[in-house]
Amino acid sequence: MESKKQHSLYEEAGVIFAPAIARLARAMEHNPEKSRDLEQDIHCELFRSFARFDGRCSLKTWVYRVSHNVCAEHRLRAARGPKPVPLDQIEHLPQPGDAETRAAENHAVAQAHALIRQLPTLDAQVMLLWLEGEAGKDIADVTGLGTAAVTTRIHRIKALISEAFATPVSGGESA
Amino acid sequence: MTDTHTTFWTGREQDAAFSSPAACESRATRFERTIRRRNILEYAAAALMIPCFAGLAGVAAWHAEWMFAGASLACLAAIVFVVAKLMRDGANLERKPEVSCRDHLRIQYKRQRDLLRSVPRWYLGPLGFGIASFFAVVVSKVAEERGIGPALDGIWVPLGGTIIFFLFVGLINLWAARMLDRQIQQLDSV
Repeated sequence: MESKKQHSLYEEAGVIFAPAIARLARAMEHNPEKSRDLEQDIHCELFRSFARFDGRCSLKTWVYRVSHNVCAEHRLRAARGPKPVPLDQIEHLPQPGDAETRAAENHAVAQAHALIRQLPTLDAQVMLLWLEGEAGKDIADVTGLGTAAVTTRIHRIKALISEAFATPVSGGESA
Repeated sequence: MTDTHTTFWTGREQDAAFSSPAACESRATRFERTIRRRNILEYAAAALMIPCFAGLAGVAAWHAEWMFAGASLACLAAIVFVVAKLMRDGANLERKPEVSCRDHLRIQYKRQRDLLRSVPRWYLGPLGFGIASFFAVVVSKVAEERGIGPALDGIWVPLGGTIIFFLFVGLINLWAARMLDRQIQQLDSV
């Protein structure tokens, strides 16, 4: 199954998306060792998946779908924590624990991580893609949600983040 | 997009790089490791239980205890059936992580739900039949010697315990399947 194309797609994706995938893995798994393991799993799933890449969607959509789906499986296997809280029921960003803040080395990032881990998987995926600066239409392509559903979630995330950082946040979606 | 995101989020992990393709060739992902570990457990359970019941059936047949031999064979068949079902479902796990996140989640939930919902059919039913046949043989043997009353007197507690255990397993699986069903409905309604 391996081919020159598979290797070249993997190389291209690595140049563009490696930092985003590292951020995704850190956000979805707070244990540093498991997070690195998850990140490597994503790399390997991507490498294997490129043997099936048919160009029917963009490289970005493909990479994000595979990455987020590997993380979703990781969450499903580890689903022993508190019940997720949907975005529309969250009033304020959760306060991260000390360990989480230390791991994130940044209170804002720790707060975002705490919120992501509290959300149901699809809401978390929307938030992560929005934080990466993806437009509403692209988020809809990756998640499979309708653009209206994505837009609603983005507005909610914006409100939460703006309130937490006391600075207006604009853009990040064009749905 | 404003700087708010880029400074606090996308500015991180800038030195990250992909693992080498060679590392991926030799690495089993956590998903593959989970499947492999589960398969090993199933093989180990089968390797332990199948010879036990086969031996029991053989010894019973040697002593012309045909009902015991039959009950042992019923348990043996139930174990083989359960293990084959688990192995078949694991082996048939077609996985396409490149589908949209919602479709992927739905596939995962549906697969788990269907497996849990069918536990009474593929797990409790066959094993229950095997165990019930053992109880029936014991009752019948005791009844031959002491009458049906004493035979039934000694069987209520173990039989009741077994029924309660089977009911508990069945109900907890159906409850979990219902939870997954709700999650599927939520996904469909988005």
